[in-house]
Amino acid sequence: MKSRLGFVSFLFIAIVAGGYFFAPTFFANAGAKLPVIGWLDSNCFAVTKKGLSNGTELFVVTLDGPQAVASATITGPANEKSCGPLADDRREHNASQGLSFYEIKSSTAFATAIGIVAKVANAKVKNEHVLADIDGDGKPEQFSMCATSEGLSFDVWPSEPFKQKPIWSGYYYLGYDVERTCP
Amino acid sequence: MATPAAKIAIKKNLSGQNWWTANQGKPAFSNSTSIDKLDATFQANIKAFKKALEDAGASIQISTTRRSENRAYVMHWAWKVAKGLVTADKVPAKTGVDITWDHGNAVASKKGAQEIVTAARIAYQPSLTSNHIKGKAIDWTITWTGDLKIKNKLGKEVVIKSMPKHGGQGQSHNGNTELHAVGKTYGVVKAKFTKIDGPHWSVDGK
Repeated sequence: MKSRLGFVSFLFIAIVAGGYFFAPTFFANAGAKLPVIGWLDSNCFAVTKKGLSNGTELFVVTLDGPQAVASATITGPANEKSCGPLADDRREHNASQGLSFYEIKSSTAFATAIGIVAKVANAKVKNEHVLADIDGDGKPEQFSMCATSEGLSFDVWPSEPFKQKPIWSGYYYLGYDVERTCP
Repeated sequence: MATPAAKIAIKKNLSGQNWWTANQGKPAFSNSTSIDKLDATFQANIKAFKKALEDAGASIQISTTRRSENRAYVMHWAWKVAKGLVTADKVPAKTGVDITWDHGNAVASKKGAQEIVTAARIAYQPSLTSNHIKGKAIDWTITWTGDLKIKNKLGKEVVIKSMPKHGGQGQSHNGNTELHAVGKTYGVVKAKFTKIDGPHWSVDGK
């Protein structure tokens, strides 16, 4: 009994510690059904999910300007020539986050965005911000991107950005300096 | 007597893909991973902290020290011209950077700038100044296993048993705060923002 309890304790610590060390994204609302979420730099989709197949469709929230909704389709694995996050000055840090990188095609041109592997039918744009219920809880999530000092933070929020903990976060190490906009 | 054609100035070093390809690998436009390239005072502090880390058995991987001011200039203004935030004729010249932003018409100038944005994989407006450019910041990954017994600047041994066993990774994992306290005694500071750059340490945390 004692050894079983010890094993369970070990397992719990291992899972918690493992997540603390390696999770590049985190989920504050563990109870909600979050779809697979990642971030995009132009035609490159970075996400923790491995093995996404060609033809997988993405719901996209563009973030380089007034927010808008778009769609994209995965066309295959990305490489360093086609994928900005895998450029020489940033590949090491981005790849070390446990991310997989996919090439996508979209009829909409954008620089930075959040991509969601799901069909989201109820999205709307209000005051240049997208509101979309991506976890099916009946409440619209909101989206943001801000600059750290040498990277970009992508976040999905249960309500207004930065008022609560994000339900998902992603980080893009740029490898060059930018003006900080994150709080 | 000069013909009218001879009076037309030939623009050299026009911004664009060719300019970037020809220049981006030159020392004047390259970032460094060498501690020796850092500002003298910060360099001494980093070397002392690094020695303490290595003596304690920590693993260190340096990804960036000083970043090129010239490279930042080119990336910053390429973004601004390409996005129409400034016209090419308004870009200030910079000593040491031989580039012609103004191609003679707005469309060609924007195209040239956009080619640099694409070639340099710029996803967000670059800054003209930073602690990296001043030689007062370093991006490095510090990891260890077990307890880290490390001496602070005063020579006092600090035993770090707490988690996590790294100095900062990604944006949400700011690393071990006890290690941050040790680093601060050496004048090597980790930022305390909610959203951070995991590997980034500097003279003031910024």
